[in-house]
Amino acid sequence: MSAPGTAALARLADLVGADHVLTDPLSLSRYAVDGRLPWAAVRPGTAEEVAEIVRWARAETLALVPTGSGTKLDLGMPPLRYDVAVDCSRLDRIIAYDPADLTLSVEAGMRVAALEAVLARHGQMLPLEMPFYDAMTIGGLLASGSSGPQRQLYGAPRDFLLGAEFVTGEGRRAKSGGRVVKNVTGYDFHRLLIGSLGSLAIFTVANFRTFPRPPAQALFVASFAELDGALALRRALVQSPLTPTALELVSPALAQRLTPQAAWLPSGHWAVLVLVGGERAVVERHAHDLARMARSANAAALTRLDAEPMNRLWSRLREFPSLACEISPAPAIVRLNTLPSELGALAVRAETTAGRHRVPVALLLRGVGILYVLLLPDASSAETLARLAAAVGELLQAGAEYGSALVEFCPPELKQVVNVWGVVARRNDLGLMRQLKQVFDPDNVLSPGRHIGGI
Amino acid sequence: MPVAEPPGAQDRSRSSEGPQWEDYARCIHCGLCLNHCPTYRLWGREADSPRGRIRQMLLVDQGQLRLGERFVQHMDRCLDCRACETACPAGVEYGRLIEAARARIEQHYRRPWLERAWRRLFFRTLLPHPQRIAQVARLLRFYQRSGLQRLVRASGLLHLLGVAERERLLPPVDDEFFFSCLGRTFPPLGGRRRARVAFFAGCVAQVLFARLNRATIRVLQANGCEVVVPAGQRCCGALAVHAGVRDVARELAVTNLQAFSVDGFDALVTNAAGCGATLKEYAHLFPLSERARAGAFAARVRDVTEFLAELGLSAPLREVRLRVTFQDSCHLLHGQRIGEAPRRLIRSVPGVELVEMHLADSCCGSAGIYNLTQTEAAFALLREKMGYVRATGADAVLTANPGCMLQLRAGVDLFANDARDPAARPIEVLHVMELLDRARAKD
Amino acid sequence: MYSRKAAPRRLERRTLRDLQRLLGPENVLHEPEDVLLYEYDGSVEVARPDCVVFPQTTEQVAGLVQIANRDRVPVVGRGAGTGLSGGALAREGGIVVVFSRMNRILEIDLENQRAVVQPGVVNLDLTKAVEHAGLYFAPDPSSQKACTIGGNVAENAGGPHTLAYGVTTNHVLGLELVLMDGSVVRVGGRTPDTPGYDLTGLLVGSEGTLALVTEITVRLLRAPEAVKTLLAVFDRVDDATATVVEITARAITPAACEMLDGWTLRAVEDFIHAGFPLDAAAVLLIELEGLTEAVEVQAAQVFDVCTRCRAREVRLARDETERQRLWAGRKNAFGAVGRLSPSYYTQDGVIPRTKLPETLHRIEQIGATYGFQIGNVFHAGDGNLHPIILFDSRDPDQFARAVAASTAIMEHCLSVGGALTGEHGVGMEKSELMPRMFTDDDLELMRRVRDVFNPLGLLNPGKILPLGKGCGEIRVQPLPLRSSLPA
Repeated sequence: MSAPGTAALARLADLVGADHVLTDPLSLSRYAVDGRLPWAAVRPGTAEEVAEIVRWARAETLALVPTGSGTKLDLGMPPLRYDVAVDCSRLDRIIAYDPADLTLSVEAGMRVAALEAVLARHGQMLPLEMPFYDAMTIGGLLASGSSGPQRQLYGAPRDFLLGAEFVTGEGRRAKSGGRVVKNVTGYDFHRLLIGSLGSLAIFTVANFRTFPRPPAQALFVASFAELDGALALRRALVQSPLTPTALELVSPALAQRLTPQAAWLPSGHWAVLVLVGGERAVVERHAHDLARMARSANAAALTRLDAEPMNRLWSRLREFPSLACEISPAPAIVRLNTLPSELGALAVRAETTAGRHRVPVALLLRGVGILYVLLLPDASSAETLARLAAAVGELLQAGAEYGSALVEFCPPELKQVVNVWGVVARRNDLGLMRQLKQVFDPDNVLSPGRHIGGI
Repeated sequence: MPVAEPPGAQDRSRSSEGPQWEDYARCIHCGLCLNHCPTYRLWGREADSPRGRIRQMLLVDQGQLRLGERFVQHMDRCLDCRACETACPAGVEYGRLIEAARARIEQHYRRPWLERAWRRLFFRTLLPHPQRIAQVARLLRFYQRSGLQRLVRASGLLHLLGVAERERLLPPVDDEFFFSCLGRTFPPLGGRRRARVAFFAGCVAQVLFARLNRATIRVLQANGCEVVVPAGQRCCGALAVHAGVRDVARELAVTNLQAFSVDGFDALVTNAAGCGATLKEYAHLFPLSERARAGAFAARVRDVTEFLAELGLSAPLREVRLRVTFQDSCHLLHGQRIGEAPRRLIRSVPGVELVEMHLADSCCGSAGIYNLTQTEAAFALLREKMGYVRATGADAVLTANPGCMLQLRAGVDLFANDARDPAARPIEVLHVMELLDRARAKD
Repeated sequence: MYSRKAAPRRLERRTLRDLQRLLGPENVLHEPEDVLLYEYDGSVEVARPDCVVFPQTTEQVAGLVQIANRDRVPVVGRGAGTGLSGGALAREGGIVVVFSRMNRILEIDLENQRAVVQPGVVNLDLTKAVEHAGLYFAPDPSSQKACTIGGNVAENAGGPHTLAYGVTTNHVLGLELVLMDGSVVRVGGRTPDTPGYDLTGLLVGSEGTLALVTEITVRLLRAPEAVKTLLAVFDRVDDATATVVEITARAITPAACEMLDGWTLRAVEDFIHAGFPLDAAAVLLIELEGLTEAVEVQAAQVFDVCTRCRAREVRLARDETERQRLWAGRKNAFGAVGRLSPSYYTQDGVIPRTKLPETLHRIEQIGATYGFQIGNVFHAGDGNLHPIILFDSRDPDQFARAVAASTAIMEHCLSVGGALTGEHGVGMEKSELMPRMFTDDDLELMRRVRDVFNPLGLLNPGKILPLGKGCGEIRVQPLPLRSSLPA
């Protein structure tokens, strides 16, 4: 790998203006991926500039990593090559917002938090609460395939993304879907691109349907001495007519980090967090039924948080990766996808696995069937990392048995010994993915090597 | 651009009563009928679906498809259960179309000689003539009672001839035929007369379902009806209509119009859904100019469940402890759009628990004489049906048509009791009227 | 405008023989009088296959695809043939693969609200199989009592209640695919977010052009605790559309919000007796579902909006029977309208909901211009129009005008930021209109992605992507048609 020549950089500056090409080490440090720095970063201001940049990189045989605010650059495997970061954060305009139609078209570099502020003025929202909420961009959250706790009620972004515009690895601008809430015209490339980690195309515009902001909200926290009780409450809840926005089960190690010692969350207890939104009567109904369910499940306590205390606790849980970093100098987060009914068994297995390798562990179980295993070693020595790697490897194996698994976050060193995409031996769909990569990005310009199977 | 001919342009052989272009074109080929068609569900073939059959009829009508063996086969396989009519959003009168198609086959297609022979025997020589029906019934009764049936069943001869399953359909012939009741009047019981009805006795029913007919009359009497059984009535002609033998059907209709021309009764009541549907549609058999009389006649026809549910039961009912399920008779539900009336009557009997079975509204495979002509399909449907009956855990399966009863009885014999506890009572097959008769407080 | 393909190429003897060996001769139809029953579906299109096969296993599907691939014969999947865009028709002849014998529900997991089904399972049959546990399969196209889940997946089918619950793609978790080379691939799964590209998302709605689907894992929903169905009656169409705009703007989310204009509801009422007032200019059928408390509040809000928008009457269905009757009026509307005219043509377009009032005016204008009565019965809540043009297909002039009127409506939809199809699919009906919504680059990308799965163009050829030789008009073929089969 060699640095792009001065001439090439000059041509890049011609495309976007010299102000928007960064080469100084300090600026570039923001764009590190797994500790690797690009030679330059470029900040396009329009979709057409993005296309020109890709065409330029293609001509110069350079590798690009698209990024928004850089919060999830460590997802996936380290790029095989990394020459220039394409920072899309200047693409931050709302193209069209039709509150009366509950539809929105927004540029990919827009920060979710800023967008939410606009939506809030019209009493609307997007259910996009997820880690790095304050910084993350629309394009970033889509490309990373992130989803958050609100998925329980609203589904994942794939369920409310109506269409998208993007630039392919060939530097062509294209689109799919549309701006209307119902549309089956043509192939749904926008869904294909979700979670593609910028390896197929760079999002430039995303179209969403928006949702009414619930007039009232409350967070209910039930605590349990044992996991079984927490699972029983989960089960009772999903089999009831109730419509919680979010349903999260948190292991004691994580629970005690959520809030300063509180009587309703004794240490050593599991916490079940149930976020509820809607009309006041709806929230009260949940309060009433939840009390009954919590009693039947032998909850140690059930408390209700509103307003500020709710927001505080909720945002802390939402930012659980940051909590992991607070606890451990070298945390790893493994995500296991399974059937909701298997969450308990898998949680037990994860704890046993971590215990066997003497790695402290915390768990976050999401009602829809996702288990986040937070491995929290108390040191970052080579010996600890070796134990961490062994634990991660076993968890990925277990995940494959129960569904699927991947590493969402880990020390960069770990990626030398562990494939973060998990066990793919029994899968036979990677061939198709490689061929699709060939179509979208024949010269391997975009995020080479970061995605599954070395794509 | 290919455009279909306007109606009548290719009119070669269509009689004035036949379907017009519009009747076919009303089918918007949306396919909503498919899953309601028993034969489509059985085989999954378009050719054996209502939509596919209509298309074939249309193409034959336009002279673009040969009226040949294959066409006849697909038309023959239709149960004429008319479940598709209930499902159709466009109001296609499928029953009329299939009957017209069969009439056309009857006129223009030469079936193999054996088939021709038995069809002639059955539709022309036997059905229209009560005395011949009685003669055959006596022979049959001899076969059943003399020990011959047991001997033949044991001999394996039936299997050799390939008619073992059909033989199972042979119903026990009644001891006393119903013919003796023709011309009689039965007084209402228990107080004032609430209605005066004419009773339609049926043809084969008079030798196979005489007891059912008597039970029906008893129930009507108990509920304050004077029941007149006009002499001179004949077979309704349903089987002939379904088979496309329209001339015979028309003659029978003329006879019946005459037999029931006496005034002064509130309704013409039948306990056979198949007969009821045909009687209500007598007008279809006549040219437009001659339909008035048949129309007036039809307006008074009532299925007995329809009639009693409308009238309301007045007779006291005693408890009958029975878990039952109800099989809709196609010509009641789809042909006459009556589904709630029999259920209401069933539920009115104290102690009776009605458990609905899966696909109660789908044909049991009886379909007139379908179980004789298309035995394999009929039994496939019956086997499935019996599975659903069993699943309800019912002690009895009720229905509202003698033809269905024959089929269901064979079903109980062949399939339903297999998986049951041998100690348990066999599943009974009852007409709704028989249940009401059983629940009748003994005088 | 429309030209039937020159006599479809005859299958090679070898192809037929191998198909018969693989599937058994009884599962291979090839006589003209048999295959002509597969030249139509629920749409106005016509195209005749050379051969129709009925596989029963994934292995058989893989085997027959290999034969087709070897002999370069097109392959088109078909469920119940209820589609409205010609998706299941063999536009270039070849083999139609009917999934009616692959109709088993393979697994029901009540605990996790999942089911695994074969593609031939009828949509409503799945709901019937799980409703005892309070669950149901959400997509509810009007054809749900006949259409298959395989067909739903191919077309990404919708329905009235997709307003609240989303279309098919929102309920499919995983698929088993047979690719054109005969290989069997599993994408997605029963668990969420299988790592890698979302191939399931790409495949759903690809109209059978990428693969044949042989197994589907779907999500089941829990039936709501409370349902309220309202009928709002209006004296002016503008008031009805204004109501829809206002309901949307206030972000009230009904489970369904359907509109019937006066002309349509009169046609329906004659036949269905749903209880629609005959003198109304339009009615809205609004259904609210969910928690009792939520439904109460929403019902009050909807009442308020309707009243403000000058509804003459807002009627609440008293019981399930009345509710079913109202819905029967809606779900049978097309059939009922069909009784009024020898032929009719239903369009499917989408517009932003704020454009509803002006769009209905435009449709009326178009009707006047071309001399047709155009009825409107549609999913108002999500802006999914279904204008019905009544005409007589026997009259070539009327036929041509119907096509032109239909194209004009689609052009209007696109001009206000809408889409060509909301739930029927592009199929062969609208493939030539695709360039009006997508650029050459968009379409080129679609073509190349299709080629990944379907390099020889044998899978459902002539669908979605424009052939590039039409004049861009919607092609329709009136029925009943004259067949080329010798008498």
